Amino acid sequence: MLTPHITEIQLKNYISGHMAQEEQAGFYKHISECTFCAGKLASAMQEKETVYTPPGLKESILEQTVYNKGGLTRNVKLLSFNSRKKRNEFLMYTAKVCFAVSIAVSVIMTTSLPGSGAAGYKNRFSLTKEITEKDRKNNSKVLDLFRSTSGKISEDVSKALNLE
Amino acid sequence: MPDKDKKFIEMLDQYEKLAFSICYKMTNNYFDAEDMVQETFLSIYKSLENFDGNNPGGFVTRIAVNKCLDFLKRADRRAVPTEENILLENTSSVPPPEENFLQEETKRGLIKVCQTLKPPYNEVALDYYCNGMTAAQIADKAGKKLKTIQTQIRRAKEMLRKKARKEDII
Repeated sequence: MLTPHITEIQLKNYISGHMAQEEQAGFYKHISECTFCAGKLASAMQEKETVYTPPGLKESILEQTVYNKGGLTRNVKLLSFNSRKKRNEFLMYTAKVCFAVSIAVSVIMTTSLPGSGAAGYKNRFSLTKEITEKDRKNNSKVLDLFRSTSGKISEDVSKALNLE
Repeated sequence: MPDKDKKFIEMLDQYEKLAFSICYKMTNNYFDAEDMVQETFLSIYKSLENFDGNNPGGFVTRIAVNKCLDFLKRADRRAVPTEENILLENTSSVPPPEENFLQEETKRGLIKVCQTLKPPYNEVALDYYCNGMTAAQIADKAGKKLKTIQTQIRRAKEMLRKKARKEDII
């Protein structure tokens, strides 16, 4: 049920601090429901601003509202930067792994080709083993090893292909 | 800057003092009033899209009064069950003094209560409440991190609130 509108006398009494205490509860209840009367109270109060307001209040409200979005985007930027960094790291890691795996596969393929003799097979087997071990330790070393032995391997490959 | 933010800042500029006066009158505690004004404007910011622009003073006042009524209802630490009694207890029966006197009186009360805190809270509280410095400015002056100062302000406020409630100073 709606409470009756605020009268001029009530408003005057409230502003001057002479409103009977028992009347205040009803007064506030009505103001809380009626923007029209709240507006009347606002204009009456604004004519007589009396309280020293904490100077930092406005700033702290802005920080939680308008500036907060800036803060959020800053955070988002930071986050995306972090994830970009992480993604780059992940891509680098993936590239290294793929590279190592492709080398290992190519080496296995060449050694498993048939008909190149027992000694040659042994030799190549130990080479594969060596590469696999190094691969576990350090991918870049595998690359160096591959460079130094690739000539030999390709020779072997062409030999094997010729034999076939 | 989006229109919503512009509108909000305008409203804050125009009605912050009004909201504070109402909240202070209703809560009868300077620091509770500060919190209520914050809640009021946070709520206004969220609901600004639904506001038609008519009677902004009434809009702000209504929200502030609602926030304070909710706060007083929540304040059951005073162990007063009905809204009416809470209001009875919180409203001073002494008529308010003259305008300038009240401004001065409030400020003097603030300085006094801030000085009762232990270091470093007393200085931080004085700078924040009485000298009108922002957390960032205090941090600059003291050569400390902003986060540290923000925490100190929060703690100081908590202590001040309790003191104000207990001793009925401000």
